[in-house]
Amino acid sequence: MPNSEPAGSPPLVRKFWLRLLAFFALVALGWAGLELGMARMANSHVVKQRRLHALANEIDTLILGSSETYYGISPHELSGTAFNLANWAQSLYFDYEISKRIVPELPKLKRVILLVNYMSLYSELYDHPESWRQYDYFRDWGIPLQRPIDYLNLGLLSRVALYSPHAAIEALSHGFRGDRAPHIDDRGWYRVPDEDRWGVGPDQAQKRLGVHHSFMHQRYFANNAATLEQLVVFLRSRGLEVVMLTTPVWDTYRAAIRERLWEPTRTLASELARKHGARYLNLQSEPRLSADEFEDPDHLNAYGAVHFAHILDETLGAPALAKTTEPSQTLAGLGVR
Amino acid sequence: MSFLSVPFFLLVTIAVVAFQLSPPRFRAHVLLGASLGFYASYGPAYAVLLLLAATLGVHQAALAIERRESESAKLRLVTVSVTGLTVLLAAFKLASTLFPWAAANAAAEPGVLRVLVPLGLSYYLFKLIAYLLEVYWENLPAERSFVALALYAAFFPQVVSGPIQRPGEFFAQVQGFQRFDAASATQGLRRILFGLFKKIAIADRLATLVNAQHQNPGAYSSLELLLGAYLFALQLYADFSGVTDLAIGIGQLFGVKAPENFDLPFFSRNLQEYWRRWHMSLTSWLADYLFTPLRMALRDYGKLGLAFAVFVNMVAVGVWHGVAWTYLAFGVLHGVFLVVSVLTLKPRDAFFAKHPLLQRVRRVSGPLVTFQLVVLGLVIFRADSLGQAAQYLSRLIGWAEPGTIAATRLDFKLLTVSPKAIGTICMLGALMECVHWVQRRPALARRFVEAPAAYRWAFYYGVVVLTLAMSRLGEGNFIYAQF
Repeated sequence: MPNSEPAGSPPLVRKFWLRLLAFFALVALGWAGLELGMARMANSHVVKQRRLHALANEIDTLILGSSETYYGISPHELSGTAFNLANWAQSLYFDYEISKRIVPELPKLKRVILLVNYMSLYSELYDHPESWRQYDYFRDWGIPLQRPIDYLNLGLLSRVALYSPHAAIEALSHGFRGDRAPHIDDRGWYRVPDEDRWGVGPDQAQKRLGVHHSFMHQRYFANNAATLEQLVVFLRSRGLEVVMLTTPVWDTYRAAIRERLWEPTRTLASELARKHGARYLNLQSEPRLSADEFEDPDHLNAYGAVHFAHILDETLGAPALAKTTEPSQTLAGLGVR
Repeated sequence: MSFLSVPFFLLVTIAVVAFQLSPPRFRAHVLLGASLGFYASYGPAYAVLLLLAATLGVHQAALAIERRESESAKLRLVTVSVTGLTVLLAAFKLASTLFPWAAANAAAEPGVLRVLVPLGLSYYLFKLIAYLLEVYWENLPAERSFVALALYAAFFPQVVSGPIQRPGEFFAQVQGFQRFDAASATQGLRRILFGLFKKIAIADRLATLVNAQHQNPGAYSSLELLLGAYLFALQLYADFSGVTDLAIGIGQLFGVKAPENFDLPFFSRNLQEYWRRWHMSLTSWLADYLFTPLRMALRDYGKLGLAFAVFVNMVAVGVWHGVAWTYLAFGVLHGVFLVVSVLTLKPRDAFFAKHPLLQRVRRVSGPLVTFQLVVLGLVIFRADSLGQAAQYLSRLIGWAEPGTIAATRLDFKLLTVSPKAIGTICMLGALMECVHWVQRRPALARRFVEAPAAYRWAFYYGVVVLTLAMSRLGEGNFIYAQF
């Protein structure tokens, strides 16, 4: 029956607000159900933490960094017991914070491999296409966010918002079984599926670099340089061997990188290695790897990761406890501000 | 702050509550505050200053036009003001075209000057031009209140992607900011829900496939490119009409009724009709403020004058999107199509009137042929360069290098989408058109509104679940926000 009251009259307005509340209350109820389900599913961080703790008394080599090391180093081929704790878009800030939390729990740890690639010094996760990943670090590692503004994101409170409602509903259709981190093996290595081959041609390299340059900014260099030094100093102070590593990229990518951005990173890594008794290995150009061993111009595939780990093991030898240095040294002497 | 972000919906909620709680005479101020806050969050700080400066200049110019007694003085003032606004628009659009390195992201280059076109510049400058011309033509008194004019230009649901509302219509509604209208707000919420569905469930899902194909047409077969061309038309329509629904729906929460932008455009029988049913607020703006004055000025030249006015109008539609060869080519192509269509309409009508059977065929084939022409234009519109458009179109018709990809290959893995997903999206597209069809029929729309609450709510929840189930990670961008 048509309502004879004017649309703006108080009873109709009250009815409008009450109905709106009722409507959203039901939506909220459904959302809460999805949240509970999603909370049961482990992501890559939780899976890695579980596997790392299972091996805590054996691990002697720890691999940090982002997808380049996550995909590109198979820990099984390294001497001793290596564990890959790298993760997608994991910046130096998160490498450092994770190290502070994990290194004291690994009694046999002797060597830590850090990724120092073309992007490492110029990027921050909060200003990255995958910035949502910072909330995983906050939730699963207890690592504070770098900017106060990021605490206002709904992803901080809601896994459904963080991973997308689509992912949550898809998980619901599978009864929230399994975890959200397939392809991670017992050593934390992400074995790139064989079908993930994006090609290594010049177009692909330009496309990749276009994306990388979009989040690389000069303004992040000084802070990342300081974080890298803090990380090296922290690890060396615990008597660990530190290897700063530049992972291989295919020729098309290497030919298109900007030397004026890349040169300061190399110089810094070499200086830090010299100053703190660490090692810097630049294997960006590794002639023993073929195009078939790359997933895309800057990532190795599973076969490449095995091959590269052999090369790395040959170069590094078995891990051994290294001599410590004073942790108080800073970057001031290197002229980095 | 994107339209699809939590902060935006918080802003809307706060604005609605503040609007309702504030005394009627301050409601425009509340909305202006929310609008400027939203606009400031969207781009560089100078964008807000530019918007306010342009509005202030237009406010004073309109008052001055009204005060002048002499017709020539009025004409001088309006000419200078409209030219100034046009030059401002052209300067920003040209800057972003001539210096793309400055418009793009800083890309790690220290010291690079960044010139970004303020979002929605074309929309609010067109609104201000319309206002000046209406005052000059004495269709509208000059608005005394700067707040009302600034709100007209900056009204946050419309500032980024339109629709381009006419000033008289808007000012009349600002006068009516007296009370909260529950019926209008309910309609608004329905539009918002439907807009989110179109954007999230259809447009964003198609974006991955469409982007990959249009950026690298050389890697795809004719059949795949054909699919990409059709699906881009669907993506653009769902994206743009989705944001229009959001703009109209959010406006209705404040009792502001905005003009419609679409009327089932893909069912148009010819291109003239298509342009009356696609981006209607822009095409009607151009019709009133460009085409009609031009047509009047050229009326002594008969059909030649008409053809010229039509052509200029379509080129303006093209370059309104940006100063790029692709947009110009898009406008020229549609200009040529429309000139041919307009000039041959009478003989064609006469011919078909004599052949009733062919007339029936025409009725069925008209929308199909029109759609093909629209899709052809959109391939050029979507391309990054004319070379890329040429590559797309040549591969589309099978002019690929011999021995490369089979023209009929359909590799869904390469398309990064499954046949099931494409089928689902097309079904959702059909559902979208059904809803549009119902919306255009008041009797059917009323039946839905008057149906028992349980049915309506079941429908709403269905749309919510479908939208969430199809949603992808991250904040989406609206294609028409860049213009």
